[in-house]
Amino acid sequence: MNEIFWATGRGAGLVSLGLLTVTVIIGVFARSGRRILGVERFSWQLVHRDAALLSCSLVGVHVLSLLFDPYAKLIVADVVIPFQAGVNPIWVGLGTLGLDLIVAITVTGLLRARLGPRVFHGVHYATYPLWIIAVGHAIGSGTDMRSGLALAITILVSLLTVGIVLGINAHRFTRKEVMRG
Amino acid sequence: MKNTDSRRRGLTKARVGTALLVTGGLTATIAASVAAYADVQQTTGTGMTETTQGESENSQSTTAPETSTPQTPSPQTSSPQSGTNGSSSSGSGRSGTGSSGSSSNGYVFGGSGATGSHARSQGS
Repeated sequence: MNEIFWATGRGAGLVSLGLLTVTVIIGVFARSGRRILGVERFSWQLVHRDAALLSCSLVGVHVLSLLFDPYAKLIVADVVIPFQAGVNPIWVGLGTLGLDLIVAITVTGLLRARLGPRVFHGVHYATYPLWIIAVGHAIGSGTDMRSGLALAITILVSLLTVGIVLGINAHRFTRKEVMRG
Repeated sequence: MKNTDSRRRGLTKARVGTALLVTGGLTATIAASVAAYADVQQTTGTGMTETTQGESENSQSTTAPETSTPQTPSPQTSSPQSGTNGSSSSGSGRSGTGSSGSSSNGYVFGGSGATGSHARSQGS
């Protein structure tokens, strides 16, 4: 029975990282203001939001599963306060830090109308460090990363994502009128 | 009229994209979880189940107290560690291919003791 929690946490964590990566890429697609792959900006925005919510949901499953897994030895405080875990505090702490950022980004996203675009965008930029933290957490404490192939795929996808983000955020590609809006 | 059609097409594309993501995401989660469960079942049969982070739980299996402090076999810290029986696990980390197969705290760094690279079981 305990293995079910651990396996669920492991699967959900892995897929949530993949979805977070997709979310980041789609986010910069939407931010560019251009039609990409024949899809309009607002369509990318809708998919970006849904992908983000799905990713957050899977992160929730990941955390809850590992809370119930006796081998992970997580307590509720470990989920909130980074680098306090009794086991593997650095790598688990990165996950906790990422979760805190996810909460902040999600809350400001949901309260965007009240907070205004400046606060929303300011907090939303934390998505980039969040993604890096999530990749670090996965590499450091993810069991699947013990496989050389999984690690290679992660590094390859990460480099590809960085390239896409930098490329699309490049000055010449992003429409200025969209940026001003 | 043209804008309305364009918006409708855009919404359809967004719904299709979302549906694909949700379907793919949930399917991948289930598949990954099942694979992980099968992995655990495969690797917990022979030894004691261990944490994913690698903290030692079975201290009595460690014969040298001075080397039995919990160690994290992260890539940074899992460089060659001295073994309890004088041997050294010359593995290169959690997925290492050390010849001895066990380290001071009972971790299996590959070698003959590891039945899988994803093992969270600990050889006793």
